[in-house]
Amino acid sequence: MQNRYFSDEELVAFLDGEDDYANVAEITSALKTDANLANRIDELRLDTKQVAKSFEALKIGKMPELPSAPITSANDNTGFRNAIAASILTLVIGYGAGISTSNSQPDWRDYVASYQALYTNSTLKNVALSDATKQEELDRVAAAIGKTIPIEKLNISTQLEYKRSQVLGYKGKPLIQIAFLDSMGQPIALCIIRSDENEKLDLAMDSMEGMSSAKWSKEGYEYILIGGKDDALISRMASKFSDTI
Amino acid sequence: MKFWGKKTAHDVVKKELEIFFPRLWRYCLALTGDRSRSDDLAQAACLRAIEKADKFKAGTHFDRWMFRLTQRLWINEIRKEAVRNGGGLSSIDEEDLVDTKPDPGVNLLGREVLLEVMRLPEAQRATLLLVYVEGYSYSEAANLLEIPIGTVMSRLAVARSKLVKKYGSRSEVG
Repeated sequence: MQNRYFSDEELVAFLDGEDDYANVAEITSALKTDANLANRIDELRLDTKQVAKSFEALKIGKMPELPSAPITSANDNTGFRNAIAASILTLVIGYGAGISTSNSQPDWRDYVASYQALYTNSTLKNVALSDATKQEELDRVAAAIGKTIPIEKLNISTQLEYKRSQVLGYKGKPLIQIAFLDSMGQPIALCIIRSDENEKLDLAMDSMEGMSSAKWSKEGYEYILIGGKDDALISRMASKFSDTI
Repeated sequence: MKFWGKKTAHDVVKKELEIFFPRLWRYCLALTGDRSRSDDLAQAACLRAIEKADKFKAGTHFDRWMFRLTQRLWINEIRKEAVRNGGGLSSIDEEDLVDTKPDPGVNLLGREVLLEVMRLPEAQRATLLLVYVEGYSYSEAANLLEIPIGTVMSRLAVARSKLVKKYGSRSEVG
C-alpha cells in the first residue's frame, strides 16, 4: 500500500510532540516501511534544547530606567482628559509647593519638564498635518512670541519629525512648544519664551524629570529642548537649533 | 514628581518588567536582528507597557501580554522606521551578540547555533524563539504572533530545515 505524503510541517509537529497537528499513528506506521520518510525526518531533526541553550550565551542589553510616575495614554478621550487633568494637577502642585526638592525657585523650564513628562508617543503619533497647515500653525504660534520660524528650520534631521506647535503660557507670558517625535517615537519638545534679561547663555545639558534636556538663551529668548533619554541626540539637535532659530 | 501613594497598576507592571526584562530583550533581538535596535524596541516596549499598565490584569500571564504588546509595537510602529533607516541590512556580529569569553556552560557550537538562528529571517527567528526557547505550544505562539497555526508550523519547518542543513542531520547538535 502506498503511504500518503506527509508535509514538512506535519513531520516537524511530529518531532515536536504537537500531536494535534501530526498524525502520529500514521507517521509511525509509515516509518516502518518508508526509508525516504525516515530521511526526511532526519533532515528536520534539530536539537531544540541546544537552540534554547544557545540563547544563554547572549549578552542581554541593559534595562532602561522606567518612569517613576504613571504615564497616561492620550490614545483615547478618557486618557486625554486624564492627561490634561494630570498636567494641570502637576502644574498646580508644582506651583504651590516648589517643583523640586531643591531650594532654588523653579523657573519656566521646570514647568515645561513636568508637562513634557506627560507626553507619550501616543500623544503625537496620530498628528498628521499637511506641510501647509504646519506652516500656518507655526506662523500663528511663533508670532505669539514675536518670532518667525520657517518650517525648513525645524526639519534639520531625519531623527526628528516635526509634529505640531502650540502656544502655552507661563505667568501671563506666552511660551511656545514645538513638538517632535524622534526616530524611536519618543516625544521631544523645543520650547521658547521671551527673556526679560536679554543675556546670552551657552548651551548647557541637564537631566529634568528623568529626561535629557538642553537649555540656552540668546538674542532676547530662552530655549529648552527636552525629551527622551538620548543625551547625544538632544545635544546635537539643540546645537543645530541654537544656530538656526 | 510622585504623588501617587498606594501600589498602582504602574507599580505592578514595573515590578514584573524588572524580572521579565531579559526575556523581553532577547525577543526584541529575535524581532529586530540587531543589538541596538533591540535596546530601542525593548525600551519602547517597557514604556508602552507602563503606559498601558491599567490594561494588564494582575495574576494573568504577564509574559504573554508583554510579548504580544512588543510584537504589535514592532510590526505596527517601529519596524517601518527601522526599515526606512536601513533596517533590512543589519549584519550579525558575534562579538556584538555573545560573550566570547570561554564559558563551560555554553560550548562553541552553541554560539554558532545562536548566530545561525540570528541569520534566519525575522519571522522565523521570532517563531523559533517563542516555541523552542520560550517553550510555547504552536497554538500559544500563533496567538502571540497573531498568525494562523499553519504559518507557525511552516516557519518552524523552514527554519529547522535550514539549521539542519548547516549542521548536518543529527539528533544532538551540541
